[in-house]
Amino acid sequence: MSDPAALDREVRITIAESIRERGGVPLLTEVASRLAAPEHEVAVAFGRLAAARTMILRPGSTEILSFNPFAAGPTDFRVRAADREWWALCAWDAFGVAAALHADGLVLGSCADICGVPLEVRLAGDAVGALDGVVMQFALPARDWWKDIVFT
Amino acid sequence: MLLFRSEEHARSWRDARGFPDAKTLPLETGWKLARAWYERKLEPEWRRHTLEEAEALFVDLGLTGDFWGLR
Repeated sequence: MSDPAALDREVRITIAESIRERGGVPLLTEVASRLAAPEHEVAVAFGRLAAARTMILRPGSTEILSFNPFAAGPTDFRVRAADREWWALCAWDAFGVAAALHADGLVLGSCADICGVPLEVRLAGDAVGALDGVVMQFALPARDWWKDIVFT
Repeated sequence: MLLFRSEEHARSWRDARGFPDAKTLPLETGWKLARAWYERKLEPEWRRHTLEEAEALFVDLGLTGDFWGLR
C-alpha cells in the first residue's frame, strides 16, 4: 500500500477490530498478518499513528502500549465490560474502555493516596456507582497531558 | 488521572507530590467525559477531536478555566 494515510487508516481499523474480536490490543506481527502487509511498513504506520496521538507505543519499541483507552497489558486499572477483562493506563481511560465498547463496566482500581484502599466504580448507562466521596483527579493541566502521556 | 477515596485523599496526594493545581472531578463528570471522548474510538470513521471540539466538550461539562485550556 503506497498511500501512507490509507495504510494508517487500515492499521487503525485492524487494531480496533482485533480489540473487539479478541478482547486485547494486538502485536505488530498480528496487525501485519491480518493486513498481509510487511511488518516494517506496519511499524512505520504505528509510528505515524503514535505521532498523531491515536495510540501510545512502548518506549523504545514499535509495540503498542495503549490504543487509548485500551492498554495492551496489565495496569493498576482493570475494567470488566462486554464479558471480558481489560486494562487502562488511567482512570479516565478505564471509564473510556466501557465507553468505547458501548457497554456497562466495572472499574477496579485503588486510591492513589498512601491508603491504597481498593475502589470499585460501576458504570451502567448514565449511572455511576461507587463509595460516597470517590473522585477522579487530574494532576496536570490539559495542555500538558501529552508532554508525558504515560505519566498523565 | 487517578482515583481517590475522597477529596481529602486527593488533596493529600497532590500536596505530597507537588501538584498544587491538580483538579478533581465527580465520577459522573468523568464518565460523561470518557463517553464523549472515547465512544467512537473503535469505529472506522473515528478521528481525533479538533482543538475546538475538545474545548467545546470541556465547556459543555463545566470544565472551564486555565487548567482545562488546550492552547
